[in-house]
This record gives sequence, structure tokens and C-alpha cells, in this order.
Amino acid sequence: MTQIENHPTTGLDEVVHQRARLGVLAMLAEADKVEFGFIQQTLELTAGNLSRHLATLEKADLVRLEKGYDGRRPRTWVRITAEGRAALKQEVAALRELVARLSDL
Amino acid sequence: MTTADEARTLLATVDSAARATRDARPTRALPLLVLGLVVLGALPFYVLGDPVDGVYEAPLLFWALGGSVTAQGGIWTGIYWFVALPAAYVFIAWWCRRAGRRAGVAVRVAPLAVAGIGLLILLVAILTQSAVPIIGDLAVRGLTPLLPIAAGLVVWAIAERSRGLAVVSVVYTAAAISACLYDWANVLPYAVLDGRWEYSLLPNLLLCAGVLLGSAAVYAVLERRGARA
Repeated sequence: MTQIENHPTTGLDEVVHQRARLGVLAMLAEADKVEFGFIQQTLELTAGNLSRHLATLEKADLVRLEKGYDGRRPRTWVRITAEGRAALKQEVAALRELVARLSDL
Repeated sequence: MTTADEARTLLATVDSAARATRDARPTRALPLLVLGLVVLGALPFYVLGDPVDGVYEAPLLFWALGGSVTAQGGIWTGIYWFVALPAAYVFIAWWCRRAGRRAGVAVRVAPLAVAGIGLLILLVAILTQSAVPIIGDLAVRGLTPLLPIAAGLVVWAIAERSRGLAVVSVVYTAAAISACLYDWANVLPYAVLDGRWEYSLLPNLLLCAGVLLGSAAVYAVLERRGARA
């Protein structure tokens, strides 16, 4: 195996390796489902920005969106999938390995 | 190329985002508190005494959950568990759902209620189908209703993927099984019960209630500290 194949950056996922999307997955992993507004507020994103990130994650089958109503108020809930949970775990492991390796240099 | 600083920043984002969700989700202390109070509420039914008139003529369903052993509580012991446990689970599910909707962070509490109530019904079915030998000595003290609570906690811990809840469920399960099989009054200094044998089952219930209420207190403190941090 070559050094490049061994390098921890090869474990980083293009879809997940991004602050907002990683934050979304980290939040979803701690609950059954999380409301759009709460994610937006916590990660300090605009609604449009968060919608685009969620669309990317949904397209990759990492999250599922549920649209509904709370009384008359429309609410969107987001749920992590098994693939999303695995992607988050892999990304965090790759980042930790990267930090450990680069700190040793 | 990702630098070490970028990687650290991303890991910090993961930690802070996860912590924000944990701090906002409905407290895990409440279900444990409610179940602990249900176990505490059963104490008066487990004071032993002379058989009460009519206890043996009562429907099998009601004394199967403890009435046959705890003569003082009579059929009310079974009625208590059959009403209090489902009511507690319904309350827990309702409260967690409402709190989750308000906070924007929903948790999986339905498995706790479904497993708890389902196994209570299964237990009644086993006990009333003259299949008591299947669970053998577990039924002798009439404390079998403690077991569906344990099963509910195990299912809840798995559904929530929580190590903390897993620890609570293992400790409580051990306490509940030991309470069904052993008289914890035997290990207490004589002065505690002072020969009053009618209270000899209460330490078993207090042990299980103590585990639940103690866990609720630990969760309440940890969650409060987390919210402040």
C-alpha cells in the first residue's frame, strides 16, 4: 500500500467534510430527530444555506427530511440515517487520525 | 489539503453541535424519576400480614402481579401495578414528546413505553396461564412487575444508543432480578427491621427505587452542568 493510500485524508468524505454538514450530522446523531429552526440557530446559518446543505445530505442518503405542521405552523424535522451515522463516525475518526499524525510532525 | 488546525476546528464543531443537542433534548431524569416513584408507591402493598378475605377468590389477573404473596396488599397490589405502570409510561411518552417538540429536539422514548407495557402484559399472560414454573423462583416474592421496567430500560438504552442509559439499565436489571430472588432484608443489620418481618420485602423495593431515583438525580445534575457549560 502506498503512503497516499494510507494517508488519513483518504478517509475524508467530500459530502461530509464541511463544517456545516458535519455539524448537522453531529446534532442529528444525538437525537431521534431535530427541527430545522433549532439546527439553523445552533449552527448560525441562514435558512437558505441550511436548506442547501440538507439537500446535499439528503441526496447522499445521509439524512431524511420530514415536513409537517405544529398547529398551523409548518415545521421540518431532520433525521439521520444509518449511512449518515456511519459517515459521521468515519469522518470523525479520520479527522482525529489526521490531527494525531500532523501533531507528531 | 486539510491542515491540523482545520481538522481541530471541524472536531470542535462536532463537539459543540452535539453538546447543544444533548443540552436541549428532553431530560432523561424525568422517566427515571417517574418510574422510581411508581416503585416507591408500591411500598404499602408489600407490607406482609394475614391473608385478606376474598384474596384467593379474586381474578387471577390481579393477584398474578404480586397479590398472592403480599396478603396485606391483596388484589390491590396487582391492580396498582396494572394501572400505575402503564399510566407512568403514557405520561413519560406524552411529556417527552411535548418537551421535544417545544425544544426542537425529539428523542426516542416510545420504545421504553412499548417494551414496558408489552412485557407487563406478557408477564400477566405467563403468570395467569399456569406457566409460573417457566419463571420459577422469580415469581415467589410477587415482585415480578419490577422486571418489565428493567426490560423497558434496556430497550430504551439501545434505542437511544446511550452508554449512560445502558449502565443504568444493567444496574437496575441486576437490582430487579436480585429483588425477585433474594430477601435483601437478610443483609441489613437486625436493628433496622428489629424483627418486624412484615416489612421484610420493603428493602427489595427500596433498592430498585433507589437505583432509579439515584440515576435520575445523577442525570439531573449532569444535564444541568452541561447546560451551564
